[in-house]
Amino acid sequence: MNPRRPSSGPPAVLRLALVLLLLFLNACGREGPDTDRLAFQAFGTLVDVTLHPAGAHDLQQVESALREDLEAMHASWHAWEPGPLTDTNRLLARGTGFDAPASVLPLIEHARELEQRTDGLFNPALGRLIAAWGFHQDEPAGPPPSAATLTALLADPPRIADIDYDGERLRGTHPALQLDFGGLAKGLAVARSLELLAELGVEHAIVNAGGDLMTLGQPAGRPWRIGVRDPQGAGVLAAIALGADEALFSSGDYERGYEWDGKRIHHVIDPRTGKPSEGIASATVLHADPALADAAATTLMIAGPEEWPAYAHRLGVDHALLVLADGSVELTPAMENRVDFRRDLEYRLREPGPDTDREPR
Amino acid sequence: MPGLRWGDAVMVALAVALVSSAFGVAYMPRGGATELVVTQAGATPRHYPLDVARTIGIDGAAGVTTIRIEPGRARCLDSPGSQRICEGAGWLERPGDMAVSLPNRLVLQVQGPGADFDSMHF
Amino acid sequence: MATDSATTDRRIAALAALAIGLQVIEAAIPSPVPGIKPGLANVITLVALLTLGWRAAVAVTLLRVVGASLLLGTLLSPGFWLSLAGGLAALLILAPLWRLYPGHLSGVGLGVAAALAHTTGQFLLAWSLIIPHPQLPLLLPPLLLAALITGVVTGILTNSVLSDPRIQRHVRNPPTTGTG
Repeated sequence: MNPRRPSSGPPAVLRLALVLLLLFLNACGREGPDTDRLAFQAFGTLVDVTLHPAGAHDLQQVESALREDLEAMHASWHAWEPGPLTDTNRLLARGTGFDAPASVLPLIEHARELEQRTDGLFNPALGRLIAAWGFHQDEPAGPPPSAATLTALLADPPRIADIDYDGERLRGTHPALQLDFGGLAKGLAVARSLELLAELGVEHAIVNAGGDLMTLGQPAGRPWRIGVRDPQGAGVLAAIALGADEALFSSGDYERGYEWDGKRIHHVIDPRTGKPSEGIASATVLHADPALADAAATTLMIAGPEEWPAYAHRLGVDHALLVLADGSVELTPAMENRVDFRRDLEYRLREPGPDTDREPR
Repeated sequence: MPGLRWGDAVMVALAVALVSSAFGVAYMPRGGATELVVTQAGATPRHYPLDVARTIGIDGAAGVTTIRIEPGRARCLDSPGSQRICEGAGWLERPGDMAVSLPNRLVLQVQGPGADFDSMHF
Repeated sequence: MATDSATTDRRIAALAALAIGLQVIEAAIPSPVPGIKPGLANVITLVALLTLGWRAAVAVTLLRVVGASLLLGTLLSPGFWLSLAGGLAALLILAPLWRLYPGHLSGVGLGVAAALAHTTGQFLLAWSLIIPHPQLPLLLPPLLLAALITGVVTGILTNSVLSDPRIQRHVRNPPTTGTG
């Protein structure tokens, strides 16, 4: 009833279908670079900007605008080089009222709120303490403060709350108060950089300042692929997919610091002990607010292995990953969903909250 | 088995080939590093294939960063900087491995045939 | 062998009922991507195709898809569209191939092709419209493997059914004696 087809026909059709299917499968796996990258020095570190889609922006214009803005912020917020912040510190120490400088005010306001929420664990009014450990210079160096100096510094520690602000003028009420926004400035800087990019018409970008980053928008059809570098080495510890407007910030004991007497002195000082924090090697926070993420990363590191979930809860942080000093890893369940570890790793889950138990995994 | 034809064998063979290659393509083991990407502040990224053993030098603000390239890997041999951070990263051989020279404003990163990252967090 | 259209319709209806039953059973089997199934009900499509012809196969497939979704309460849901995509894709690949029966291909070859096409068609629809996740293709290989196995099984079943002497009378292209 049906005439026989010549035998060469159908196998060719099948072969063609097979080839097409394989090509399709092959094409799915690969995506060519669809982003532009900029790298430049600003804010005291290497700034790496990713723009999407490729070829859609005037890279020169973007780079110079960002660099200029970041350098201005760096100068305004510099903890020890002469500038608006050091001027502010001088005037605060004097104890008389003065007009609040516009560049420094946002930092003070953010800091006030954060100090309250963390019950003083995040305290940017301890510039003197940080300077005593040798961190108010480009290359941090010892010697560390003597026990007597530490005792004196901790006797009556200043707080942000010791700044009176009536809406127009600032007045310091503690003579030892010295502002150092190390744990907060980068977060605000990154936020401002993204605002600037948005003003320039950029819709999808990542601004990465020395490894801490935030996204603006997201490429159509895929999340941002972020690699997390292994703090102890060169490899990739994990991959995280970030969506639109998410920030990823870390604090670690491997950043600024020096060796003294065989011991590692790092820049995250615990206000309770007056010494570099112990117990946690690094804290990574994912959050929509970059200033909060920056401060939270520092706070969790100070909080220590037992209490970090409580402070995560206080700050409204759901996504956190910590590497403890002994090398073990703890993270929140929400973070577990976001992170794709590239190494075989055992970790413990801890839920942010006032009373948490360790859940071995 | 009733009524099998040679075409069935062809069809099944094709299907098996299709399914195995689908597995192969999807679950390809992440290969080794195939190229070195040098990002320097103020310059476009430079790519160096990790094929022939050679030594290259990159000029920077603080001096020359010497990089040793060997098949499948690269390392920072000598770079300005008192803390020897760049040299300390050792051989960069897995895709994503990186070394940084802050004085010369350089980032060295090796990449493989697999997916790139849009940004590196550290 | 000429049959009047009423008889054909009854046969189509009967086959469609069987196919609906199979699809409902298959709906209970979990799948890594919800809604993508290996296509057990294709055995009915094949039998319809090879005994009643192309139009009948299309009718049975459409009746099966709509009927099963009515029974499962999934009419016009994503599952329904996936099922339809699978059925149509299977038919699409059977169109050039079924003429090769029984000379070059038996039910096994057709079953494998139909099952792979069924799953691939479902996957393409799912990936383009329902879950456009960039990593979704990673699920395709196990789905294809399941389809391959199902295809062989449905093919063997089809061959068995068609070699039953009671069905032989209705087969469109009776197998010739001797090798093909």
